[in-house]
Amino acid sequence: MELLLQVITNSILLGFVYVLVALGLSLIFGILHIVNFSHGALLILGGYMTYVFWKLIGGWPYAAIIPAMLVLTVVGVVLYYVYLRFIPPQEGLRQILGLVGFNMVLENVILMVFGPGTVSISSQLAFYRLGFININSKYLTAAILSVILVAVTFLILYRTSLGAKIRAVADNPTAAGIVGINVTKIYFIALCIGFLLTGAAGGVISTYYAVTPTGGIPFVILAFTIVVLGGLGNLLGTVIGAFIISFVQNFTSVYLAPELEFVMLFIIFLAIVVARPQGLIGGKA
Amino acid sequence: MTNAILEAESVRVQYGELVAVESATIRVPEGDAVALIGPNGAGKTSLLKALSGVLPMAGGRMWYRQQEVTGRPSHELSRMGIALIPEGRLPFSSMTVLENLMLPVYSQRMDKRQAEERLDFVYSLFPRLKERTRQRAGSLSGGEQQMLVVARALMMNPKILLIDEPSLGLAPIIVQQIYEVLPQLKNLGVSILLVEQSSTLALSVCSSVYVMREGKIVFSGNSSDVTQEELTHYYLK
Repeated sequence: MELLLQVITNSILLGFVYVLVALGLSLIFGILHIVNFSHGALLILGGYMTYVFWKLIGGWPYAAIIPAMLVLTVVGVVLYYVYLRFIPPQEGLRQILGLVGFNMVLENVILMVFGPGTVSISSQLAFYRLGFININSKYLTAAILSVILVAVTFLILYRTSLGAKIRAVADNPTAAGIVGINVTKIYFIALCIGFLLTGAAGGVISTYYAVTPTGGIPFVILAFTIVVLGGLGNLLGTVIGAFIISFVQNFTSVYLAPELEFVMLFIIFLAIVVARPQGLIGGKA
Repeated sequence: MTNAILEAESVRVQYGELVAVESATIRVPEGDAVALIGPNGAGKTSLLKALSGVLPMAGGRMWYRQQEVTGRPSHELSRMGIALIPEGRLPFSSMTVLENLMLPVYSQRMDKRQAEERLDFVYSLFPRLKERTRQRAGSLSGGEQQMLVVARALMMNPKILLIDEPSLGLAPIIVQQIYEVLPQLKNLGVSILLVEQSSTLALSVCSSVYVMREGKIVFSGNSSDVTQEELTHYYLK
């Protein structure tokens, strides 16, 4: 009973973080129709940048996530305007290969600059007792930050006129132009939001997980499984998918075997791709 | 001769190598309704898309109220007052009826009072939409979606409407409802360029007509001047 409650608690806390990890990927796909195969290395870059800024300015480590988000936005915008923009959207394979290539380049640049070891942002780890369960303070802070960032993103998308324009462009860019929306400008804004979120996710990860140059792989697997589960480009689906994945991962790890975590995720991924390619929820929302 | 609200000269539209519009010169006088008719594949839709900035012009020039606007993107033309009602009903299907209608308000930065006035106006034309404000556009019937797209264009407070086959695939009763709105708009001073395959419908609301065939304008004149024989000739030749 105690173990069960503990696993549920961890699943919920990490579920919030996973929403953040997958949201940038989902948004960039939903609006710009780019399947960002360099999401993993970008997440890790976000983690390293958070580490660098924390070392530079010191103080509360979580504050270093903000400049890291800005760096990632610049990297993402440059990547789009000097490279991705020239690959026609209908040539998906070229885009994927290009991004996988960029992922490798970025991983190796990080390796060159920081070396193969881990870096971690040390903040005091504490456990709060709540009845039977222990709450890991790092998971808790990561979850709270994720909730705030995800909530702000959803508020912008669903409660502001800018958000309405972004959703209109995602729905139908031609019709958006017809009603007077500057589609090019909206693409730029959406790109910035997507990479701000990717940077934030990387930063949040680095506060509870020791990052290495290739450490993005498990997270990119998580993110892709979540996005496929929720339906590509479906933001509400992304939220639901993140919690399903977090529960599956934590329960597998505790009740089956830790090494089966990713096997389980891949089985789900493969099953969804074959049986329900539109995702569990389906369609675009 | 009244001033033209929209004029286009020798417009050419291409899809890669394929020429959709070879050379089209067209003039819509301020406050008038003009029909653009012709058989399937004549290039009517391509011409309309070029005039609204959705497709690039491969040649030619255009003027809106005597100002040259050649090559302007669709959102700029839309903000100036040129509203396209595209063929095949393109509402933002994942958004609600109200959200669809509010988008032009946001992109034109209308104030609240103006927006409410426009909203009351389009709801008075299409009361059906008012009952469905919170419903997702994708779940509306075909006729309601077409009403929504017309209403959305009217929210922009357009000076000229470019309407592409509003009757396509709709039940006659819905077509009738949509066609009842057009003369009302004309009375309010909105100019109209109406594309239809069905010439009888188009000629019933328009005072002048252009006939298009194989990418070229082959006839222009007053609606009352074209005889049924001439039309048959243009469609079948």
